[in-house]
Amino acid sequence: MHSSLDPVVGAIVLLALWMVGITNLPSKMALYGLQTAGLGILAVWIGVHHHEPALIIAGTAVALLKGIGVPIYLTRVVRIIGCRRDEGLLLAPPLLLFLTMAILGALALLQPFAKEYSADLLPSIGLILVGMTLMISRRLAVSQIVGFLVIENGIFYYTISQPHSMPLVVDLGVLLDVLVGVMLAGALMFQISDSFEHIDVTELKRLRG
Amino acid sequence: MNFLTSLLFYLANILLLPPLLIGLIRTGKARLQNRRGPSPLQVYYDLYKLMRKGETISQTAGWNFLYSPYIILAVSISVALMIPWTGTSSPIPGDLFLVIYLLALGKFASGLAALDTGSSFGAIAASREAAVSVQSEPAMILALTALAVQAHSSSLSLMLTPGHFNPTLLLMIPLALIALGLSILADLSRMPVDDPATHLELTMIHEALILEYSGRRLALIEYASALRTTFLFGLMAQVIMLLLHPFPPLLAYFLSLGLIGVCGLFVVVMETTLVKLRWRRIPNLLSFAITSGALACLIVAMRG
Repeated sequence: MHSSLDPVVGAIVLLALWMVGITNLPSKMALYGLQTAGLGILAVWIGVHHHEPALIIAGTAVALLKGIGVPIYLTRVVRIIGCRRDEGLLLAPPLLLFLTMAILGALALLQPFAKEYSADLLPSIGLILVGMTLMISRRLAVSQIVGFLVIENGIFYYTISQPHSMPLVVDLGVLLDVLVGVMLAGALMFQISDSFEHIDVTELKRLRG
Repeated sequence: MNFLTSLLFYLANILLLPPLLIGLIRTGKARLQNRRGPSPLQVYYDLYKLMRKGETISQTAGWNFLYSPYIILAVSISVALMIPWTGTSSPIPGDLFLVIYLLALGKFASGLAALDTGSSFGAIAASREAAVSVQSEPAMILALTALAVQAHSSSLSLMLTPGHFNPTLLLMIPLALIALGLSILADLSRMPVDDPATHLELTMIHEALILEYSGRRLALIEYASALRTTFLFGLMAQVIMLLLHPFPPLLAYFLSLGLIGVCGLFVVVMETTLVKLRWRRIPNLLSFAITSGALACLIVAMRG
């Protein structure tokens, strides 16, 4: 891929990293939206550059639906449930931020070896790792959805950075799956918060029959 | 520019600009809060008034309390002579680590002086100041180190000379700016960390440090803190100007002044719209600064 795009890719990974340190849920959604919109615009740019209309359509759909639609939907869900802050589960968010940064730094050491396969492998692995950290480190169910979405972003980045991208049907199919998943998860969260009056996943374990 | 003219130029700026910047920030805050506020020149009058007033010095105060204003002022002026904050090269070629440790020396002196009188608010403030600076210093060091690695030199005047442009800078400079900006806000005891306009001793950091001072020594400390604000904002201005093309000296000077003003405006807006963070949430804020600084270093290291 063109090296002048490196700052954009770096900024996308950076936004994902900052999501780890943030406890305020609406700003976390905003960061996610910014990151996904950037990813969509990047896909459109690559599509224009390589004359691949499939990437242009997929990128536009991702930027609009996932970059703008999903954060608005999730922010609304969070507002209705009435939780704004999400504290860390095992580690305090600042410490977790340092830890995740150390993981990314260790990943950067692998760069000379990654050249043999594809230089674009590292950012997508970075995004996937950050998404996993987001999923396991927080109490509220919303954060796990956001972590899942970041992992999905990592995979999407890998597909758009390859010389021959996925067929349009696959990209749009994945997008549809993710949207349906988010919708269902949002609806489920309402159910959980109605039944248990909170969405703290650590408390759910005790309720097993 | 030879040494003597450069020295005179810097000394004139050091003497005249800092109270004006603080005055402009205060006026701007007053205007945003729908108050008329004092004129921007009020800080000069205040300093003049304090210089002529008598002092009250506690009987338990030792030499620490008496001399630390002079140490703080001397440290601030020497750092101001080392950082090329006006856009032209500084009279003394400053090294990055020397500057960082001189700034730390100033903080150490003010902390000791606050402990010296035995007032409990001073002790609280000294402990808080130390806790904040332990967290803000790594961010500043990391951000400046990234610039130093980029320029292959730890001399501040070489680091802050715009070289040839490459796309790595587009990500590295904003990261370094975030790290520097947050740590400077914490260092200067500005809004998200400390409220400079507070009247409650329990919430103060910087104000409680200087609670026991009066008269001439208070004027010296106030002036030194204004000077620190000015040259740290100037440092930010130079980092922003790294992204732009090299300018002729006169244009660079006025552009730096403009950018210092923009930093001041930013502080004005922040202090009007944001609230002070709870004391225990400050590590959360500063962890973003440290992460940004470390990432800036990482990016530079990856690009070699």
